[in-house]
Amino acid sequence: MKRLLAMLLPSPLGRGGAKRTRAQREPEGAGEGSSVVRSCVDFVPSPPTPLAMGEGSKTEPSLSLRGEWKKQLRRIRQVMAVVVIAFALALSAAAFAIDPLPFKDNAQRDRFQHLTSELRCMVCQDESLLASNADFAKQLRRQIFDMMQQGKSDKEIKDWLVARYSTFILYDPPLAPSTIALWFGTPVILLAGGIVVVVLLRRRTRPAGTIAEDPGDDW
Amino acid sequence: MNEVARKPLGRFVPLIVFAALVAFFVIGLVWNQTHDARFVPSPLIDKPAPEFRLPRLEQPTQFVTKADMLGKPYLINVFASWCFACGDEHPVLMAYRDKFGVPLIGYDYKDAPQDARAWLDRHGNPYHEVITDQSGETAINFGVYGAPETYLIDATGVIRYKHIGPLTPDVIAKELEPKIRALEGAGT
Repeated sequence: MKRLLAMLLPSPLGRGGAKRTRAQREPEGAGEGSSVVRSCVDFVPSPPTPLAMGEGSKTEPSLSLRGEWKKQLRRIRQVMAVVVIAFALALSAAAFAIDPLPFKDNAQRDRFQHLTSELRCMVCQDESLLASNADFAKQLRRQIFDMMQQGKSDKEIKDWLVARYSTFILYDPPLAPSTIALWFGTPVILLAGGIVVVVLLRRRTRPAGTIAEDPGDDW
Repeated sequence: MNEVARKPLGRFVPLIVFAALVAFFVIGLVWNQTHDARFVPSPLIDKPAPEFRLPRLEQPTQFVTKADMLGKPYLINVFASWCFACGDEHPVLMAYRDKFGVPLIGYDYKDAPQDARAWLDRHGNPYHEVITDQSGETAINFGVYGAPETYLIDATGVIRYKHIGPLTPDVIAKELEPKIRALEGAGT
């Protein structure tokens, strides 16, 4: 609890605590994340740990507060630049991680990318076949590419995959008895909420005397 | 205030709505914790197993086909030397190989034959027969996406049961053995 408070409090006292807890927590968190990532992707570079932003305050309190502030600002900018570059690198790595396939033309490549982005990598499950670097995804990408060369339509390819891996492989769930709640649950709840709001607002705008006459009043 | 006094139930409506929401979230949490999203029901259950023609691990020039296996039920266990969970499952297979009452076929998935042979030499071979699928192409037709996976195929070549993940004594007793017994009952 103390640690949590320390992390939340921006006071100089809290900062030291926060830094310590962050340092303690990071290896754990990073380990967890990377083990998940490793199973699916092996290209993501570990992002450089940003310099602790509060570091400047550790130095002797400077006479010129403005200079100190400027220094901090510069540091923040540097950190942000590093973060942005790391993200850009990770994204471009994702784009190039995909094994090059000899597409006939750009239209076919676009079709392939669209189709594979709608399919789930069964091993990673939270990644599409397009984005995943897992062996499974590579193999299925190759398979889908081959089927495209044979002139199979998107629907034929999807049906072929569903016959083997069930509809779970589709990110867009088909309308089926088991997915009715998924498809219509939200609109129904929204509609019910809307009706309640409308009824309440109407009642409120009515003159006070009429409320008593309303027999169906539950509120 | 008047309204509330007149309709005492009215004041509980927010509480009831809140309780319903809490129940909703609790069910979601419990579901997520007890249910492994990886265990996707196979659409191949009660459908004919895909055709396969795969080399034997010991004699790679000899092939085993689906047609060869027709006539009696058998188990296919997908494994690989690189698969950690297969190592966990291995002692269970060793213990149960003769208790299943049906042949246990090892399906070496995306593995180098020499690695598979070394793995089986080191740990012991629980399989009555081992076939290899180095490319993993046939495995796609079986809907394999991770090892270990276990299939029960009946005498007519229809997939009767599939288990994803390591077999445990519990799973065998509760799920697999009843399925095997049911096949034996129907077959004789």
